[in-house]
Amino acid sequence: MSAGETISSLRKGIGNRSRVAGVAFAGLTVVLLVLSLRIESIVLQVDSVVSFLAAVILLFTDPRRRVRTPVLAAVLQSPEETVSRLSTKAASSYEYIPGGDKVSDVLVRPEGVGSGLPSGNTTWQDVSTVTPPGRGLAELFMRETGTKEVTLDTLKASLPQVMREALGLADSVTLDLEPDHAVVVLENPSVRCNCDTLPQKQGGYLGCPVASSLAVLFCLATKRRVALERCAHDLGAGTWRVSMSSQDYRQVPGK
Amino acid sequence: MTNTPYGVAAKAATLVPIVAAVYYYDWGGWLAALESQELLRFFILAFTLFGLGVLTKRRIIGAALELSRTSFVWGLLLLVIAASLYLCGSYLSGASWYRYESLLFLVFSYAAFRVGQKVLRALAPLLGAVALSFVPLGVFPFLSAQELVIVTASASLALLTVYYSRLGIRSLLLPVAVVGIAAASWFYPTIDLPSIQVYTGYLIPLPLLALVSKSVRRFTLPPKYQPAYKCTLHRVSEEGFCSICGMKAAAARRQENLGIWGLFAVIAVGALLLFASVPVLAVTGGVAYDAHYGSQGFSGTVTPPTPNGWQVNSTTYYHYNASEVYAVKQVVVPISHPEVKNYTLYYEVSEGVPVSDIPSGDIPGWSRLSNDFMQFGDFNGHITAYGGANRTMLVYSGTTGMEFLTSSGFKSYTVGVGFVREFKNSNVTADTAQLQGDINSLWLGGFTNDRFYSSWTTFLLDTYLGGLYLIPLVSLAFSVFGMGWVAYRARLADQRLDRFCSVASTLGEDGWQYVSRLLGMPGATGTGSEAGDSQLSEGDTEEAADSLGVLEKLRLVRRVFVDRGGDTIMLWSACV
Repeated sequence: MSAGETISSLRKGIGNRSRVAGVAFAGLTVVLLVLSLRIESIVLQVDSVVSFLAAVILLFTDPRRRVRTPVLAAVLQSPEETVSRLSTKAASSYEYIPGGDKVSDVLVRPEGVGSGLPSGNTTWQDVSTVTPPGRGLAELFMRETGTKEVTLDTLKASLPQVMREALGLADSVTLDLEPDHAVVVLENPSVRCNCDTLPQKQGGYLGCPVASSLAVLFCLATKRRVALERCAHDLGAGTWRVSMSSQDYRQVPGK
Repeated sequence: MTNTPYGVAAKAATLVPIVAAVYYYDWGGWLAALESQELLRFFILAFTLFGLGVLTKRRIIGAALELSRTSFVWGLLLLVIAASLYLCGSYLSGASWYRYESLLFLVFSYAAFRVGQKVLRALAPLLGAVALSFVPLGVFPFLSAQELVIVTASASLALLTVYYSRLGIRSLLLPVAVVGIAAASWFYPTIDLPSIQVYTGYLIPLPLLALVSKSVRRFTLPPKYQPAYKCTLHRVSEEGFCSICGMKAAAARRQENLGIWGLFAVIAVGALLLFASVPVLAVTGGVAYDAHYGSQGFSGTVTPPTPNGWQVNSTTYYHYNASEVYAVKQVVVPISHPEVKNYTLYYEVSEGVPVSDIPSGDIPGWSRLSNDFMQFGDFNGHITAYGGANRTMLVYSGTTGMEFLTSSGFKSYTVGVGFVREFKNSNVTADTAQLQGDINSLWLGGFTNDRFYSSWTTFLLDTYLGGLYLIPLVSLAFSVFGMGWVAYRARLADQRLDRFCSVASTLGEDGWQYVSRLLGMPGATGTGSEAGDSQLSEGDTEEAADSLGVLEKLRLVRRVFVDRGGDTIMLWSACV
């Protein structure tokens, strides 16, 4: 059993102890009720009520601490604005490049550097690569699945389930993964970004943390450079479509 | 907190006078009991196994001593058991056994208070063997068959020994030899040598001598733990263990366990056991007593007491009806010049109105002269004067209510008292004054004393009844608390797991490596070297120790101490 599988199974085990104790308390409630009817003891009667309450609390409340969606959306707002600003003003296009076998090796390289950095007074002259947004989310995916190496097959096998169950990012996730193209559709996503409001352009985009994390994983799985396309929201259907394309890293001139 | 050898010795030395004082009166009983061959054999066997166990795991016990933290709650619980057993020894048959077990529990309690509970847990099976060293022969009615008691005790000793040795075949060799000699001693209690007769029970510790041989020690004792990774430079924690290889590397750098409050508790309970006594008005064996119930048992003075300077010429116990509990008639005279005067005293304890043969009503040969109300202490009654030929007879009879402790519990009884005296004159006034003066000076003190004892009995009854009323409330409180505690622990365990998953998922690369390796190990537990890289270099060990320390502060890992072979080692365990 790998460590990743272990932490994933640990996460599934959250609430098990409460459930077991809740069932035990429910059984105890029945026993105490039967005894209190026979013995007519006020202690047993009160105990049966307390036991029932304990069973209800343990069985029907969730012990997990959850970050509420509005909070997550608020947390993501500022990074998203930064990403939006960088996408439109700082460089003409961005591509995700695999520097190695680990998530932390994936970087974003700006092309056609402009002067629109958030600080306002510097240029991209000294910036050859930047850390992709959402790399932590990609790292989290790795730890949830326990995989040491990301491939298209592992992504196909586990990405929808992890995004849906472990991370709770959407009600369902559909994947269309090919070596040179990938489309991820999130139905009823928990958070959404407004990257579809960015102006249309030729090169790749610097995605919001969620879309960017998918690009990082795709980049790592294909070992090719990845260009993130402008994502599309379908408000009527409640879907969020993230698509990206890849090219052989070694085919890029000058790399 | 820790325990140094000198500290343990000082604490043990402090306990000796306490034990000597509290159990001073019991030594004789114990020595007398050990004259029984069966008891002596078991005593030697149990302590031999105890000594063998301590020798076997001396390094583990040494580490447990250093790691032990005191526990006031456990100490108090054990102290209550010790005191209860002590009191049982005062009032139940088998006093020596109860007192012996009380002594052991007092020692355990003192150890929990001042040394720590980890060492008690490490020694638990051996302490169980010591508790069995004094076989309760004839103590319990349901264990009347001696053979059954001895077989049960033997089986328990065997199970404890096997449990302590963790089923290690080599570790069991010497205990089996010890038990074998004990069994042989059972069938052949003595050996006749040419000049002397040897009690074979004394030969039970003989296998311990084999431990003098290094090869025997190497073969039978648990091996020294050999870590997979050997540190060239230990990263010693404050407990004295290496954070990387887990070996004990130095003495613990912690403060000595003092347990001052525990010491005070033991001294206070010891003093209470020695000096406390509860006065009670009691009826025991059909006789009324001003009694004292203390740690040394029951003591009492028969009531009514004989006044100083007076003697009882005759005593008659009588019984008129079923409601009478105790009825006595005494003729009391002065020791000097008994011919001068005498009083006939009637004393009765009854469930209803006392009925006695105190002269009353119309008495043939006497004429009733007066009948007046008279209060005598708590007794309300009448003094009746009878006249005859140049003689007077005065009769006083009065009653009051008092609380008694009997073998069937607390009882409210009516106490009747009567005095009769004949005077050889017809001066009723002077005679009445003399009778009142005499009974006030001679008996009032005794009956006032009875009232004092009765008020204590009433207090005990009220306490007992209060306790009875509180039982449902206390049991309700305990049951609700218990259920709440179980529910809280279950919920807390889930919340901890949730927190672990959340925090571990967002760890940096290095921290994640340590946690993920631990999670991949059996029981999510391993040494620092196993959690790090098995090929740690000199510089890496410091980094690994620091990283594990950070994870410990994040409450993702914790230190656990486990026994491996004959040693205790420190491991890191993921907090899942």
